[in-house]
Amino acid sequence: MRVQGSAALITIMLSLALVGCENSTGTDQVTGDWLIPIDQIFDGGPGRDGIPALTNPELIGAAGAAYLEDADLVIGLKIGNEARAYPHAILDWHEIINDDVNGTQFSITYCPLTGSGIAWNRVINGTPTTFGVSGLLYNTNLIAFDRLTNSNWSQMKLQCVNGPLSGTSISTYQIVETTWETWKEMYPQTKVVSSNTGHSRPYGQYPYGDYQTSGSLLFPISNDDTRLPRKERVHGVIVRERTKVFRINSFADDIDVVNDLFNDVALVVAGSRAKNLVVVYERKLDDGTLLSFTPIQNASLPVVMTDTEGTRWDIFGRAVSGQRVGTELKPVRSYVAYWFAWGAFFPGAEIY
Amino acid sequence: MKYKKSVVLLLLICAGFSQSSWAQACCSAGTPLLSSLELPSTARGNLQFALTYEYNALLDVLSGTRTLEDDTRRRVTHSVLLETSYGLSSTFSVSALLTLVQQERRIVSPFDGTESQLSARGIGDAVVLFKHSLVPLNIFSQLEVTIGGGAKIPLGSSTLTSGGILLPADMQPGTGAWDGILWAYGSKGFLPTLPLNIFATTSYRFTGVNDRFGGEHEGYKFGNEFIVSVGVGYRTDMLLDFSLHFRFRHTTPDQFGGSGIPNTGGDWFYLIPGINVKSSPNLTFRASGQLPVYRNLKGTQLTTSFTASLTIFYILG
Repeated sequence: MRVQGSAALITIMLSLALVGCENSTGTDQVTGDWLIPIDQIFDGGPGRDGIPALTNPELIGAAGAAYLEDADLVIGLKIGNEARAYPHAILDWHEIINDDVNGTQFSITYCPLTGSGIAWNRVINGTPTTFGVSGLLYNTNLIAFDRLTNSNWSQMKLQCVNGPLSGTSISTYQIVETTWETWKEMYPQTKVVSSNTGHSRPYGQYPYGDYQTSGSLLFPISNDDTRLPRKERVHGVIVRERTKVFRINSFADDIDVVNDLFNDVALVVAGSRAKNLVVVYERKLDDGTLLSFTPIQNASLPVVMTDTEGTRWDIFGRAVSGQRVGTELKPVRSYVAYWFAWGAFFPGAEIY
Repeated sequence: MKYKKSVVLLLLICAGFSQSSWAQACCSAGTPLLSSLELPSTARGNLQFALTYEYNALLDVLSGTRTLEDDTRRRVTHSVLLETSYGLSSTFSVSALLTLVQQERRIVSPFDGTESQLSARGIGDAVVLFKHSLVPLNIFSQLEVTIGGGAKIPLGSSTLTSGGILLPADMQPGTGAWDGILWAYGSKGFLPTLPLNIFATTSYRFTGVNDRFGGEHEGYKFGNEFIVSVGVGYRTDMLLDFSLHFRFRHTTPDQFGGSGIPNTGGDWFYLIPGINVKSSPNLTFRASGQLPVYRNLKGTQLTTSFTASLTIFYILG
């Protein structure tokens, strides 16, 4: 009895001593108010800079990128005469690449969990900065931080949601997300990010198992819209708080064009299922001319469509021949992401 | 009088791990719960204590079996485990395991070398295990075979936050779910021919689902865990005994909403040397370490590089 009592006493004493000692501390804590519900933000695990963003990565010619397969997806950017490709194979492991082309400073942001790739202008209020991966997620989507102010930015909301720059919107650069084969055909002189990043990573090996093709998620989302399969890649357009998505799989294998009107904005949507790409521009010019477009069959890429005036336009919305040569169609806020992410960020999104 | 001294001694030990010792706490998710349940059955009326501190350094990043060079991330778990076993009868005994957890995460930014850190601490989960000796230990056969079953009790929090943001599941002191445990132990001695004994433990934990994301969302489930340890102890007539055992651990991937979480689960094979210091017939100190000799992980994971532990064993009765 004495032994049993002693044991019970010890156990109780220990338990009492431990009560109330639950705590978390550290320099990794984020403070301040959020523009998004804090109970829907999750720590993804790696921590701030645990997924290392790249800055000014080594670039090589297309022939040197032996680690890439033709069907691999890349995010393509063209500034002036310089074309660059940022492969998913690299972005899957780093999520952000800070780069510049002849003084144009940008960050290629890609979230593997939402399949969303967007090129951000990293000059904020006139001051250049670089972005890093915070390790936090909202609707399973990347939250980046800028190193200038330590503010946190929601990738798909295109907005700063915490910190000194809270409420600031991010401007973007036009990209073309497509297969490596298609991008090389468009821009054979392209440069591409080398796999020699300074980090030891198995590039070419997808880091999330069967996540791309399964219907599973890793974290809760605020709204689960089941109208389309969760992981279907769709190109979404955001016009004055309304959103419309175009299913890449709904386009023809060759270049296909849709002349659309959405929320009083006339759009041209060019896409290809086989080339795994969609781009969207406004089709009303600054002089008020409203153009209609048709695809150029068996096109000599990057030229993809022609308008009713006979002008030919390339994949970046630039007129390359005809009476309007040199004119550029105005981009709209749009990017590719998994359908579930569109449904979570923009409930009620229209489906073309 | 003897019992009073024993109680005082144990209280002194526990006082050294008071609430002010913030650095002394432990982790539960991936915590050494099963591997700590290696006490044999307890003779009737005897009370055994084992108080352990374990330091677990997770410094290695592996993709499958391949080690990646990455010294930017570091995880450390501090565990304090108190196992109490009491002999209910000649063949039945009960063990209870209480835990304290501190999880630490350190990141060295590859951008500018600055270090950020986060720690979470608290009471970890507990285990209650009922043991039945199929072959009770006796001095003639020197053989013991014991089986057991019990539960892991979710005493620890699985919803700690930092700055209001829910921390990852593996940074929490607790798992937030009830688990079932099956356990078996066997040992055989060879005195006086050889001052050796061999021992083996096997255990299986089948895990439950927690609601750490709130009732309106799907739950999180840690992977089921299987462990088997086989070892040998060498007895001396002096203060020191030595042991060496091998441990194999297999976990299935964690799940969210019923689907597997990438980069969780795998197989580990460890070498565990140990030294026992026999202070008295009732009191023994043990120092041991765990060294991985083979790892095959699902996806890419930060994993244990080594552990080091100190244990105090005390028997009343």
